[in-house]
Amino acid sequence: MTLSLEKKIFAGLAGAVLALLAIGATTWWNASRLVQTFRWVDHTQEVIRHLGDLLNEVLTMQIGARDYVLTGDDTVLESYRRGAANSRHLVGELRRLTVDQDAQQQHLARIAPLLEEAALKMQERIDVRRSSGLAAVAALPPASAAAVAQIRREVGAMHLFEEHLLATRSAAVVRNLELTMAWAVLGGLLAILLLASAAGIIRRDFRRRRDAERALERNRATFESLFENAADGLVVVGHDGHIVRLNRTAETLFGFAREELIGMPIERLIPDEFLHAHQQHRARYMDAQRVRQLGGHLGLQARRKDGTVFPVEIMLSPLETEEGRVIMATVRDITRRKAAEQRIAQLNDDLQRQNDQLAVAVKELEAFSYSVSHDLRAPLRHIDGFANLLAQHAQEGLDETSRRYLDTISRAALRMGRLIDDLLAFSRTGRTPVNVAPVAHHDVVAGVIRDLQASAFPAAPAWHIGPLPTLPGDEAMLRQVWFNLLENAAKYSSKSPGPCVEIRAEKSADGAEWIFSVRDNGVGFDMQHQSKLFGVFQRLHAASEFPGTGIGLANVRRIVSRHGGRTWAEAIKGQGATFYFSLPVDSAKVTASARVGPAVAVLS
Amino acid sequence: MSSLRPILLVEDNPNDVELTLGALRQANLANPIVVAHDGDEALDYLFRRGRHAGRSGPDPSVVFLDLKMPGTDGRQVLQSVRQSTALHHLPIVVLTSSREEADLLETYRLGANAYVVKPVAFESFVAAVSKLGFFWALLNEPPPSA
Repeated sequence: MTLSLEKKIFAGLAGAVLALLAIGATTWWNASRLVQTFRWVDHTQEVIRHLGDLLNEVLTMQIGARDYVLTGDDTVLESYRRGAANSRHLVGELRRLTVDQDAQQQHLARIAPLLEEAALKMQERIDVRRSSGLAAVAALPPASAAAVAQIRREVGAMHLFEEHLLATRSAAVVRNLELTMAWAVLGGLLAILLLASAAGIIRRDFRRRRDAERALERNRATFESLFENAADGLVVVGHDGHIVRLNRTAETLFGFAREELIGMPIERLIPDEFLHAHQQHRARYMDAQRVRQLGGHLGLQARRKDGTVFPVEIMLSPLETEEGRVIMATVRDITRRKAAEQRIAQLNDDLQRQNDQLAVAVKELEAFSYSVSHDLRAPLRHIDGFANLLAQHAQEGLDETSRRYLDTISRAALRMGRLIDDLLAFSRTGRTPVNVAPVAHHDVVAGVIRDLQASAFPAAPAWHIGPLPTLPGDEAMLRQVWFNLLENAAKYSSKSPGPCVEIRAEKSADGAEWIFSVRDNGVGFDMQHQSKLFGVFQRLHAASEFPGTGIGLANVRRIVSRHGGRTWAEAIKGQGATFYFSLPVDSAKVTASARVGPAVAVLS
Repeated sequence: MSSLRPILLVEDNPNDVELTLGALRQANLANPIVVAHDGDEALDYLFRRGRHAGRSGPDPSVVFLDLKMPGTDGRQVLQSVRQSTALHHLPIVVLTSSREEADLLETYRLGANAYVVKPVAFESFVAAVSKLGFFWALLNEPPPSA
């Protein structure tokens, strides 16, 4: 069970108060017992006093009687009578006072007859003295001395008993007093503790309250500063549609001074054409529970002091304040954004137009390549066909030179056919979409080498293949890249002694791409011609020396660049060449490059 | 001999006609070869109308059809044949210079039975046409004539 701090404090205080009450009650009870004990002590002392008085009165009675016997003076009889009466009275008093003490009552029971006996004897002597004179008294039996002595002993015993009682009761008083004091001290301490903790709690609460007030003040200042310095114009409107509050930006925005705006109906800031709609909607805005965004697409406008209007975007936030519900309008001047949007729209239109033009260009190029494919090949077929037919037809009628001419015509036609086919293939490389999937380059290279080994070269090279990565790309296209590069390497090294081709791959310094290399020990090339290497129909060697159409490396460059990579080469004439290409690791980059679009690819 | 189904060659270019006929000759086919020089003539022949109205004899065993022709082109011929009830199943081999994917896709969609690119090299051309003739005129069992 968890209790809040406040409840804990309350429970603690209640406990302390209960403890204080208990202590108070105990102390009160102790004190009343003390009073009671005090009374008993008083009572005992009273008894002791009465005992003393009794002895005195008995003595007074005895002395009075003896004085009369000796003097016969009647006046002294008075003290005898008084003593006797007082003694009897005191015995009665003592009986009453010690009614709870059986021992004392027994003493008193013995004292009363002794007293009567002594009084009787004294009265007898007084009577004899009066009637018969002093000498007659002497003949009487011994006087009351024995009874009086007996009374003294009894009173003494009683006295002793009371003394003892007094001692006991005094000790009880002391004990009670100490207990009462202890409880009082305990109560006092607890009260001090309670006061101290109460003071602590009050102090802490006070401090908290002060901190909270300071934080509130800071928040208020922060809000004030935020409100005043907001980039947007802030206008607080009361329920009656009059401006209650605003910030600096709003002043600048509307061109009014603050004093002018405060209390002004909000409608003054709204252009006439929006007034009707605003009046219709204002009540609804006022009752809205949530923030309402009036975006720029609504084409809202606001009016400055000078009557000019500007496009705005408005956010209406309902606020509950002490003065009731108000609406805070955040007004943003979107003049510049509108202009920018217009510019963007303009640019988009331009781009769209250019794109359309490009699409038309692409269509034309496709038509062009179609007619190249169809119409240029037909005459070549005819040239070769009829040259062959001529050779067949003339049979033995042709001499060696004529046959060589016909052969040359045929071979030229066939070569042009190959050039057209390659050119069309190259054009297709630019138009075919790149299907990006993981490509295991090691497997691709192994497959290409298997194919190449089947084709005849003067001397097949020794292949050295390093570890090759798997990267995103179009497998069919990349296979074309490897085929062209490896075929070139095999072709151009085929005339070297011990032809050898090395295939390697390493990651670039920044790790963003892999760089592949194909190194051969073939004829190489002059580095000053390297700019021609990757161009269409550019060749650095005679077709008679190394056959080829000059399209392979152009295709390599186009495919690699559609994968977001680069191509380059290094060579020393007569000592072999190294061809490089790079491919990005990130498939997103490959896709982005591939998407450059058929138009650009065809035009490049 | 007249019971042999002819081969219909639809080809506008006389050079190609001559080369194709030469190649077919080398295949030693007994089938008569009919040449239509454009799409309209081909349709007239096939549907026995116009110049070929009242033509007797069986339908061709195969049509070798060029795609690019003036007027009614190869596609339209293909379309008309496939839409007719009588000649719906007639074997048609597209014989063209184009290796364009779009052409391939469209002619197959229109119902061509085969698509052959005419090789530039004469030797390969002769080999291809003879094989086609041999296969379609002799080996292939044509649909029953209507």
